[in-house]
Amino acid sequence: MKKNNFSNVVAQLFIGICALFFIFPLLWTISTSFKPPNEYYSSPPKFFPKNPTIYHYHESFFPQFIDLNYSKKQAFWVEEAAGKANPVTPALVNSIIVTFGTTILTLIISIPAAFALSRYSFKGGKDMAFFLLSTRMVPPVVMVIPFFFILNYVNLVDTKIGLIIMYVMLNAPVCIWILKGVFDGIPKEVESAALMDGCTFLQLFFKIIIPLSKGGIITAGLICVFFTWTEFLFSLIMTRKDAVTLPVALSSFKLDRGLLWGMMSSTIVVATLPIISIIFVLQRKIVTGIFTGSEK
Amino acid sequence: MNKKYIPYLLMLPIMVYTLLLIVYPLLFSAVLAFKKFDPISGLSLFNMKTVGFKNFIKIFGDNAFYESLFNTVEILIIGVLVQLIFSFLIALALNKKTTIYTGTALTLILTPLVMPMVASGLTWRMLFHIEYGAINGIISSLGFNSVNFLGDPSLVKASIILVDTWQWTPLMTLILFAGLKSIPEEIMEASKVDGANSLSTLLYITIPLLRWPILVALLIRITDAWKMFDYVEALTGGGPGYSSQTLSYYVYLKGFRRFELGQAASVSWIMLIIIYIVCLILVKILKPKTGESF
Repeated sequence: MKKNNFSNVVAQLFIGICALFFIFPLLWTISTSFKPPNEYYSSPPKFFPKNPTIYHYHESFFPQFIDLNYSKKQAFWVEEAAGKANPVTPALVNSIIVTFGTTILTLIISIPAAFALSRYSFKGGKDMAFFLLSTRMVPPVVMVIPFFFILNYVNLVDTKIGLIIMYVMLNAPVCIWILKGVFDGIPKEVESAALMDGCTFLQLFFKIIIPLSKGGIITAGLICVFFTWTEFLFSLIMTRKDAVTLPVALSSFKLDRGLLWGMMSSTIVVATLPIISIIFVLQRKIVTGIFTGSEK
Repeated sequence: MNKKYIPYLLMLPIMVYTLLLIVYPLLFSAVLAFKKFDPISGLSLFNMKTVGFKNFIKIFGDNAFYESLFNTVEILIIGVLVQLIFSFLIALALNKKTTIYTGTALTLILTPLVMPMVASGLTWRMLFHIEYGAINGIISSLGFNSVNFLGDPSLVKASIILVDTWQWTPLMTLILFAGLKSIPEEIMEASKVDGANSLSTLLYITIPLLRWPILVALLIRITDAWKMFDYVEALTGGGPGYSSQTLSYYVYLKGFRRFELGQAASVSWIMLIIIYIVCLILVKILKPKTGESF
């Protein structure tokens, strides 16, 4: 019994250390984003900012609101060592539009396809489903080169529409598989009862199937948001100036002379916010899903 | 309307999409792998000169290709193994009945998943900084010399593995923990009654029952690690030298920095073929024997 207690203590300690390890970098970035330059350019670094400031959020997103006398007034201020970078507000707007457009379009394409794969057995259906799933295995660099040519042909390089068209293709397979599982879970009797009552196919689809699978559709949509919001390689290659998304803008703070610590950490904090909120929505679902799974 | 056509009608948009944006690009890239791109002929595939296997011959004679291949394989194997063991330990610890706050701990452990990969690469780049970074701050406050995590060719791969492990162990933990939770209590109790100690329970009962979750986690992680790009771009840019360049980054440099698009396409096809074979083998090895359902 004593040995058992000992192993429990070890397990708890281990989990505690792991939790600290996994959360530390995000906490550090949040704290850096509120530090003035002379505090993050100091050695040894301190965790808590001594003179917290929201200057870097201004600098990254609303440079027009910066009080020009502000940095002069502050005796503790030092020049950012790496230089200057453009504000990221346009990239933030682009990211929001692209993510929103991709998610809607992906769902519009995926819902009917997933429904067909779930409810009808038709020639080639299974092959199609597995083919779609296997595209997840394809390294993105394989697709990025031909996509670049295709977007060039149709003059969509560096446009949001071009990005959206590509991202739908990257996201649709995963969405279709998730939604197929959701539709599989709706009992077939519901449908046959509705059809018996003289419901047309479209009515069945919009009045019964969609409302019944709302939770699943939201989950699929949020996963799509996650992938689109964080995607980097395609955006890096397909955008130059007008359609730059947030991850690409983030990597532009990495200048030849060094990193723009302040702007970078404030942008990282803003870039993680949407996903944090997604996790909050999904978290209960994920965690309770795991716990209820055990009680079957 | 004939009912038979309904599923095809519903599948039509995704089929068109697949044809235009998966099948066509794949064919295009396969043809491009045997062509030479030059600025004069422009982006039309028909105007490009066909060079046969010359692209492949050039690549197989390129040292940077081999270095990128070995870097990718090294990061993949060490990284995924570390993540598998680490996440298994966390999942086992979380699964202990006496563990308090399991939900809270799980939420805290899942935080790395909220960061875009570029963002976490840049965050760690700040943490790794030789003068002002938090990690070197801790190291020097303990009285050691500061470590050049990203500038030292012998350490840079380990640093990338650390970042990869930090971000993706949580996902693996989630999958394995869900798998552990779904093992029926009775099996565990029966093994206890039969006098099995905890180690043999782990080896002969828990791990075999977790085969399917382990396979899923491995497949996800191996395909992801194989295409690693974001961390390299955010942390090192492939340097110093070629010491942290991965295959994806090699393709990117070849294709979009030196505009050898034909060679880039052929390397990307080599990547695709290798990962396809690896996935087939993995599924063969770990698939439950016939009769078991999954």
